[in-house]
Amino acid sequence: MWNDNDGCLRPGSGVFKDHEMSVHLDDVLRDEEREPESVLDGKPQHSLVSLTVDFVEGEEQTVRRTPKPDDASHGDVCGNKSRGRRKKFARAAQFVVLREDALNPDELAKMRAATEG
Amino acid sequence: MASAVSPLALPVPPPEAQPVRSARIEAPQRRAAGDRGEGPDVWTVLAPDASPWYRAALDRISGLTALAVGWNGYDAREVKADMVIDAAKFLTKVAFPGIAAPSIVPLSDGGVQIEWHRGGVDIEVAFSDEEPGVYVVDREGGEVELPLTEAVPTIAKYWRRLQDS
Repeated sequence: MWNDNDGCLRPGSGVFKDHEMSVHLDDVLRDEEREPESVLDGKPQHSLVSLTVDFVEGEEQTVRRTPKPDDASHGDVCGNKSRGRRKKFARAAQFVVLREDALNPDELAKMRAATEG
Repeated sequence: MASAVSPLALPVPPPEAQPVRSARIEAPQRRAAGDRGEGPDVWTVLAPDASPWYRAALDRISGLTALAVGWNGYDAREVKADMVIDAAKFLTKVAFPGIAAPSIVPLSDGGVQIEWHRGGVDIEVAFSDEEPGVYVVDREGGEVELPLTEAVPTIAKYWRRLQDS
């Protein structure tokens, strides 16, 4: 969503709500020579953001490797995520894949204006 | 179809209560003969003086109910109808002309979150069984968590900073 305070798009803090938050681990993706975009297969409206392990561990989270039969890169970021902490997550997250189709026209216009400016 | 004046309507709204808008809420239509009465009643909220984004926002909220279990790619729950109704009622109270359009997002617990991020303030209003409430980060004055009952007063407090520019 567009954040006028920061002048950029940010993921909503609500996506970081779960105590056990599913993630994809970059080192496994690299080992498997998979592009990050591959984790969005079948999810055409979803975007992808990244957080560093150092950051989440600094927020009292534990990163667990929880591979699934069809996805060895699956992991969980476990720990209490207060509203303030979720906000930090949203501000620290960097877009890896941004699906513009999922943005509303107003957000898209603001993003393009900021990019061109 | 019966109609009623919303209890939200104030006879003479004082200036400081401007965000508490008047609105007319129409009662549910009587079901037609043969209707087996399944599904929720449909209320129509009429707010002719609402912000230009009001109708689209209601459509957005209503559309969230179409999300299936696992909509986030994992194990998110379906968005609950009562959360949608509460969110729509809240918007009806605050969608007065001039205020900027909020972002409306589903929550993995079946709730709905309405957010503004402008004017140096971040406001998140969560309609959720697990964690309802209001979270405000005023970049000039710290952060505070409030109960959901404070949602409308919070918008009233910050409404000048939430104006569409």
